[in-house]
Amino acid sequence: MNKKSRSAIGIVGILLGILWLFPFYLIVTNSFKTPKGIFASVLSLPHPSTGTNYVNSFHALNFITSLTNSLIITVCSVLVIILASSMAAYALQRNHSKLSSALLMLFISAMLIPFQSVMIPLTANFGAVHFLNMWGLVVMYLGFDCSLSVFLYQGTLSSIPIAMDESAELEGASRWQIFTKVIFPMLSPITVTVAILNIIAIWNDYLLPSLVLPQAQYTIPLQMFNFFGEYTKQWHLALAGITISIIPVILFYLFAQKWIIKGVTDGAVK
Amino acid sequence: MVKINLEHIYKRYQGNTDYSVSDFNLDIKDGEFIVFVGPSGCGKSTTLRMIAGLEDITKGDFKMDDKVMNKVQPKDRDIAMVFQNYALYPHMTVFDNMAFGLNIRKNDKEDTKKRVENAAKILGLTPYLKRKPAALSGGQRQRVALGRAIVRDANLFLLDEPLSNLDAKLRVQMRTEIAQLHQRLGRNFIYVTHDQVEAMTMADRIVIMNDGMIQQVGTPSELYSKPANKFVAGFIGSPATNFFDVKLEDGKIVNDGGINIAVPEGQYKVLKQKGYVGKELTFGIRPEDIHAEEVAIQAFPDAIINAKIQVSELLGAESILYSNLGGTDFIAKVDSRDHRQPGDNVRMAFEMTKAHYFDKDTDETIL
Repeated sequence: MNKKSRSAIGIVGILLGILWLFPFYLIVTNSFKTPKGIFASVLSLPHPSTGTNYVNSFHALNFITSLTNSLIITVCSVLVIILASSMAAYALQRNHSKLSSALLMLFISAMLIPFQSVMIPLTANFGAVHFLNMWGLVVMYLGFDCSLSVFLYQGTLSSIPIAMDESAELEGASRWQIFTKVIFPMLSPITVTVAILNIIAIWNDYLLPSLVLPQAQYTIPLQMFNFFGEYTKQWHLALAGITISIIPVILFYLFAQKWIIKGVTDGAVK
Repeated sequence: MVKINLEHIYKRYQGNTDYSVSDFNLDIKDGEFIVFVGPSGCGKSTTLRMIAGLEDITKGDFKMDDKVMNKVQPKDRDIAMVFQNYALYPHMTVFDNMAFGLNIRKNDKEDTKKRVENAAKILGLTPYLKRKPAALSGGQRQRVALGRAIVRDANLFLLDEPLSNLDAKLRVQMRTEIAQLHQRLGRNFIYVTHDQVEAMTMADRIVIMNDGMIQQVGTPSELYSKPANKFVAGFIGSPATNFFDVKLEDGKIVNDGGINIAVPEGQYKVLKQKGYVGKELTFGIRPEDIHAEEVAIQAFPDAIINAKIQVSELLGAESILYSNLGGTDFIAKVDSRDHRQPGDNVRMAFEMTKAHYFDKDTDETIL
């Protein structure tokens, strides 16, 4: 590749990068503006700059409570999804009966069912057993998100030779020990992929929590809706709230970056 | 030390009509190095897996010290196995890989450490104990797999084509190391391979298999010099034994392709006794028993053939000559001084005292 085409690719890359970062620019700069400042110019830098949006937003969002709710729901759901789907995929992949093939097909076909088509009967049924709370929501996420996770785990498991299980079995390991000590650690790249996909989806979800959660258990996206009334939209507070709410996800991303990149490519090729 | 008996073992996989292993009988003595050898799909790995408990036995009994082990769990059989692909745990260090079995069995930590360090010393792995398998070469990984088996101090070691992933040079080196390891440990080893050189160089006894059945059990020299049938004669030895369809007439074997060779008196007597005079049979001669040097031609004047060389390979000390006699290809392994070029006409002598004769219908050895 010559120098000219290299610099052309570089320029295209920079332009794409700017395009990608532009929404972040809008969110962060406008979160420091007054409502008047936002309507005067959305694109300009904050002038005058104010930090009060963050303080007001923090209180309006009831941030500590809603962050705790979001964390509990996301962490519990993702842990349960990882545990259940990895074990289910292991059982389905290592068992070569017709029943396991049929069950796998059932999991895969479940991915095609749109959430909107089941949300009313689902909430009605959960309501009937008084389970419309954050723990009910965790169970719902487990049901909805297991299909894709089982599918991803199953693909990776098929590349782990059965000799690994057999070797551990001969060494004296039980089926549970084989899974926990040998197989599950080997699944860590795909586990991180499954975790990040589900964390992003669950952390940002609005519709399902809005149907299920009582007000005391509202998550950040639900609290955020308070800024958008029928007649007024408090963009300055909403943007400050969005900035605060994406910080935990970015922190997780930075923490797991090495694994995410590895995990995504592993999942893509296997 | 343990006595191992395999009695009338059969294996049929679900959905198959044929048996993958049929009527497998073998008694293994204390400390013996047994090699199962045969072409791909002959049932050797299946038999090994049945011994390990990783496959069910359809019929027959597998006994250790006269106790039937068919239904005993693999972990309770006191067997260590080395897999073809090593099956090392990639997230564990070499030490943890080797200690895995002992840790699972809740062995004393100090004792585990001692045993792993001792095995590492034997296998030259001491500097690599803290490394992960990904940071090791193929040979080192193979040693870790062996080490994992050694630390268990099992009664029976099963090795399923453990050298097939290594390059030729390393394979030769590891072959010697495994043989030395067997001598040092004094345990029973069962080794599966499709490489007859590995079988010949390592085994106390070889079990040669084809189509799920034992063809012959014997020491390497027995299999080489007294093959039970045409398959064994063709499988053991490299290059493979040459076979010619011939007829036994007037003390000679003859065919339309130009073979007209006197059968030594003792051999003829046996063949005559068994009623093969005037009948067709298969004549076998190993490439190394065909000579092109003048001395041999003078020594065996009744066993001379003339052939045109088609391909020749000079290997240094010896030369491999590929020829054709009346439509049958054959190979001669001669001294490098007798190397010839393709197209040359060569006189060659068969060393008939080392000839083999097989029944044409059953392929069983007559003599």
